[in-house]
Amino acid sequence: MTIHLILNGNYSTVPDMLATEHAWRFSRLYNPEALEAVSATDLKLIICEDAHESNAWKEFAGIARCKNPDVFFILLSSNLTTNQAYCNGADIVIAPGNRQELLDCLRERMQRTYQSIQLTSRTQAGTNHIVEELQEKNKTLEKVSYELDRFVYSASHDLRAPLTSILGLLYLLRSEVSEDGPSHYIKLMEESVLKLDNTIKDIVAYSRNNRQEISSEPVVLNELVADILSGLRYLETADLNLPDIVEVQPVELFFTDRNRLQVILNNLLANAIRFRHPARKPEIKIRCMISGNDVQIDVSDNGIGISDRHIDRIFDMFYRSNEGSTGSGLGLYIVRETVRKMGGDIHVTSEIDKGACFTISIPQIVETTYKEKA
Amino acid sequence: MNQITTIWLVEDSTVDLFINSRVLAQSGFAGDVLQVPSPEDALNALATSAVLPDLILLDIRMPEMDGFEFLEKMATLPKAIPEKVKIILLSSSIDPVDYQRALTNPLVLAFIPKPLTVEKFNNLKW
Repeated sequence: MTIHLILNGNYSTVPDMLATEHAWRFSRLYNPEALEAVSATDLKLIICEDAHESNAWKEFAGIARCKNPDVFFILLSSNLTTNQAYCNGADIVIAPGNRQELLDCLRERMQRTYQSIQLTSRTQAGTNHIVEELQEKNKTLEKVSYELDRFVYSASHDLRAPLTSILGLLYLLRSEVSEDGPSHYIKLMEESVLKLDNTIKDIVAYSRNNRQEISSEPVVLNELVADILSGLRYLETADLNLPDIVEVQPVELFFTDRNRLQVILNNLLANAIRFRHPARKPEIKIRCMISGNDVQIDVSDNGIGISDRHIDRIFDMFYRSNEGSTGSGLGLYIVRETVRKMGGDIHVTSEIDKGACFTISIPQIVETTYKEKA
Repeated sequence: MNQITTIWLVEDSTVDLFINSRVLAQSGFAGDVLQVPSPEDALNALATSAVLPDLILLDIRMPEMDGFEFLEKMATLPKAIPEKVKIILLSSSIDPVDYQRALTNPLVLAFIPKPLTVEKFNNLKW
């Protein structure tokens, strides 16, 4: 870095000595070039002579200090008092003949400036280093996250492929044997395999929610619910006509993370069907209210309900209130985690033997809002 | 559905080949079902065979050549072939990337999650 030293007097030999000491650049300037030079923002030192009492130095000092408040201004003058000089922007006054004082003052000043520059550049180098390191780490994290994502899906596929084959075989077996034969065992085997398969799917959904970024797209609620119901059709509901028992209140489209909302509603609807009341026709109602940026969705059922003993813990990981269920104990935990990841919240109310109502509140996710948050 | 008379099953798992053949039989499909365990062989057969299938049930994750690679190669065959042969992907993958690739591929008619059942097959619309 070059340090400009404006000399407007006869003492050039002094800084020349220091220049070899510090390898700094000096320029010897006279009006009007000096005016331009003192405007330079990286100017550190000015030696200016109160030549012929012209008062030009006052102008120099004013401009220089305006551009660079840290500039050190040495005034060579035999007439002015220190006080007068201070008032007009000089830092020190030295008599033009006092060569030793000027030399000492310069040496000290230059030493100090030199140290501060070194400190600044060291800090800068340190900062650059940290930024580079962070960028490097970020890249590694992105790569690890991507690879983990691929691993989860590949592993889940390899785990599920033989399971789906077993399900296919059991499906065939059931259709080819008589009702009173081994069909009961087949049904139990199917249930066990489905349970295992659901656990794998839950773990994948959990892992996905943790790492995938929030996305935004328009969602038409009844279309989304129809998709979910067609996926649930094959589970344990052969005797139920799902579209017939699930009622969706019509609502305008809204913007959200469709995949995440699908995971949430899929779990809530599967639970509502799974925990239906044996003594009555299941009725599941989905209500949706959009007010400004907030979307509230209620999923209520007339099922067996949740007892007070369990209701506070149903969102906990691996908590299962019903021993007979085929659930992994992850479903509602994933629902809550997913809702929270979307910046929302979930509540439940229930009366035993009457039914349960889950209420989720999520903000509409418009692309720009999300970017601001990120 | 009437115009489907020949179906090829391109699938490396012998168990799934068996299941899919049985399900097709149970669904009342009376045409020809050909089991092709190697996607490579299936491509060669498409390029040279005198009789083209009306439908291929294609697995996605297979060793050596996966279903998407198969589709890419199939798209380079003479135009009449991809125009005639409908493709249905069949997989136990729950990877959204696979769904996305399946649904955006112009050759793919549908994506069926395994296992194939009579209901899933009969629900297909062509």
